[in-house]
Amino acid sequence: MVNIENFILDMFIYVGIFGILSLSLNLEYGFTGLWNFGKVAFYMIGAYTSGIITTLGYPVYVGFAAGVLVSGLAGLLISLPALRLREDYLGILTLVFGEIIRIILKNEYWLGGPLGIRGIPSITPAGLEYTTALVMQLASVFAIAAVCYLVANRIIHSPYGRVIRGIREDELATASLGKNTFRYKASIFSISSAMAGVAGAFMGQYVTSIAPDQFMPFISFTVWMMVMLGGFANIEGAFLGALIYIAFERSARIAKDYLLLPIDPNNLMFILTGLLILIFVFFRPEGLLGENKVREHKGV
Amino acid sequence: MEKIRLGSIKVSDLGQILVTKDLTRSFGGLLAVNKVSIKVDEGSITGLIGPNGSGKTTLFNVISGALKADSGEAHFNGRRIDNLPCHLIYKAGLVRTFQVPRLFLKMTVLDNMLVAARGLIGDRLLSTFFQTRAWMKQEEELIKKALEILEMLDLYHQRKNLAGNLSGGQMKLLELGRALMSDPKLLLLDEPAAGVSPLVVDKIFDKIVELRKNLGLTFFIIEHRIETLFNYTDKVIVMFKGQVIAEGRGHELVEDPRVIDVYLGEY
Amino acid sequence: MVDGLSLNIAQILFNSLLTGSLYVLAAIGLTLTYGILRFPNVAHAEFITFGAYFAYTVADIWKLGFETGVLAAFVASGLLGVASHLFLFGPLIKKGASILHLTVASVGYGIVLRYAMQEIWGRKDLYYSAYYPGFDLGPIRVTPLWLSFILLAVAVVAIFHLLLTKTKIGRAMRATSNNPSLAQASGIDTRMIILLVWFLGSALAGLGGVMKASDTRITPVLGWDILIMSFAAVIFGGVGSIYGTILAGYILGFVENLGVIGLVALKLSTEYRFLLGFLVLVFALIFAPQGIAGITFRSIKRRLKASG
Repeated sequence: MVNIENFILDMFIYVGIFGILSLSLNLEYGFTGLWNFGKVAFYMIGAYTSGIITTLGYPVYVGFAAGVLVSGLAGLLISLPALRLREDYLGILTLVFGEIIRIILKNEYWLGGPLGIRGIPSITPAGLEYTTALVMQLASVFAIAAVCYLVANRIIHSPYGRVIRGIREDELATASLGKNTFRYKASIFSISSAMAGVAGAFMGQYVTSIAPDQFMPFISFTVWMMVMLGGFANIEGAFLGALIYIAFERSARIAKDYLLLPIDPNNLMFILTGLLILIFVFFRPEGLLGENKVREHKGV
Repeated sequence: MEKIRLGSIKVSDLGQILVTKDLTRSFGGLLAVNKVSIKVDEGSITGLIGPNGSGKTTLFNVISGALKADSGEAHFNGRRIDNLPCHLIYKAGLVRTFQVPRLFLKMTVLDNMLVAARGLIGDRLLSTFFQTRAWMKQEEELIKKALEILEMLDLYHQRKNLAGNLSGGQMKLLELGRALMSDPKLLLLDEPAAGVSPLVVDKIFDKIVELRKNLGLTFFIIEHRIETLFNYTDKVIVMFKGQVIAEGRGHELVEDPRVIDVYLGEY
Repeated sequence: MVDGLSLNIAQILFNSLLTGSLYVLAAIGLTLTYGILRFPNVAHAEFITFGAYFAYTVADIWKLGFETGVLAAFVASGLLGVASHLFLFGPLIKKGASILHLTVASVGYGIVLRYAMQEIWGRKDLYYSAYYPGFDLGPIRVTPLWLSFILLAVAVVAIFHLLLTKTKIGRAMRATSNNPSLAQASGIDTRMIILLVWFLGSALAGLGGVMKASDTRITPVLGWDILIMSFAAVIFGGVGSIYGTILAGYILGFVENLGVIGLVALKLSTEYRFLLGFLVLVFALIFAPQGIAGITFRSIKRRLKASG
């Protein structure tokens, strides 16, 4: 029998985490047109950085800050060779990057090896009643998500946001209008990677142990599916997509306990998810919510 | 045609805002631009003419930095630009428009104008967060400027419309408007009146003359209508198969046997 | 075999041939669809896996023998590929779907296939009952299975070569791969060619799946494990170029097997041998996006230009 409260709390915590990841991908693809298929890499870097630092004894906020910085830096470094590539090649490169990081983490024992990092201290004090701790975690992730949302919101309604939308639509035209398009792409990529890093840092302290095989490319694909569901270039849609996907996934888990199905509900859930994506690609390729409307200029 | 020797370009060749020397660019084995050496006088309206495939647009691409030259030099306002990326050339004051307008169709007319502004404080990501008041104030000023330009081009009433909804002629005017946002010194216009009705053609060129008079801008224009070139340009450069074959005043060129030869095939 | 610095070069070459053959089989289909339809088909991994599972059903559940299983896997994977185009990618392309949407669709489709297969065959490792004991061929340790697969791959390469150069269909394939719209304009039935490409490519992928599974085991992530290396062969070889992919596949096989020696000598984990292939892919993406095919073409042109 599942404790409904804790189940729902846990679910929404993941909506928060993946909402942040989807938001970061939306900034990269939805608004700038960058194909990042390696979101899991920066998620992983954030989780590991924060995990390692906090297990070494440093306070959690230092771990989080480090996670954000290192993953943002990793994003910046990757963008140097990657962002000059054609879009689909960028996608493949980011995908491979994630796998390279994962394999290195899996085989370097001083970074945790295949068993990863265990005993990551959480932000909630020990001895707290489980449900209360979950509520604290939920509040924290939503606070972080709110910050990310505000950051994204400021970006898209700014002159900077105008330029990245120009890059998305026609990069040569944007460059011909005096913008160093590479610098824009690199900066949006870095900040999105930093966001993914904070999501990873949070997840690390929430589950308290992380291992390389938790960071498969499938996670990057999942984030893409969430962005597709919620709507490209819609920052609210990022959270909506995360909600839909995770709610769907969790219902399948409970179904196992309550329904008798001829098919293993886990398999069925994934099959239905895949079908859902295909349906969206066919009938609603822009996602549920359309692109965020640009704020009108005052007095125009 | 004057021959310019290596190293003998004077930085301030009086009144010449654009000078190229032996500019060359090829694609595969095809020499699209073949040792092109031209001079454009400051404050002039200079025409560039030639049959299809003569390399006019490629020359514009090379000068504006969209393409890198294989060899040769280009100097703008005394400054060497052939090795610069296009966004720096833009910042130096050399702006080009495209034959088929490359507008941001999903953005409003006004936003299209705003993207083109130079020196935006809000351009940098960090400034977006830490210099908010500064860029918001600058936005107001830029909006004012953009609306003035739109007004001048009779596009004010379309300012909130998506660029994709404009008519062909309006799109051409918006291309021109966008180019003006950055206070350029030299505009390279690639067929600024292509595909529009004759009335609009005159309107566009009248505006160009007005801008030259009021703002002292220099225009280097690709155009294939000979009548237009007669009426509006000070000098015309003729290209054929990647090379400059003649230059002079419009009515002189019409009598030039080389030019007639080249166009016999066209018309 | 590898002890300190003692190297069995012949064995390394043989292993490289084996690994390379696997990558070639897996990658040919990918390079063809990527070249013609212009999107990276992530679901290709599942065609590889499907071949392995289908062979298992035919060989070990219906007990029709391993050879029959291999043949059946070839045909069934090919048909799966054709169905994928008829019911998914073809209609999407007709609707004007962007490259990104096709790619995302292939991700979703891959998920459907993988979990459908998991439903049918379960998650536990499966093994073919066919067993061919190894023997020594001179200095090399081989098994009849390995030899057969290498011969199979070589035969496939030869057949493809003949197909592409000597037959009308082959030339049509090359034309379509080079420039689909031009090919269609010149009267080639590109629709048939595309279906043929899907059939052949997926069928070979299925064969590759059987090959890998017979060497290790059948798991739901079988195809996924070699997908990135397949992409490495495709891009390093030059997207759309069959010859390039073949060459790249064998080079990657060599890099991987030689790399193991280097890794052991450097006292690094042998798991890193895959990283070597990934690094080749990264190198190709950044510095040689046209791949081997592009470099070859360019150097030939240069030689022609030099000779006047």
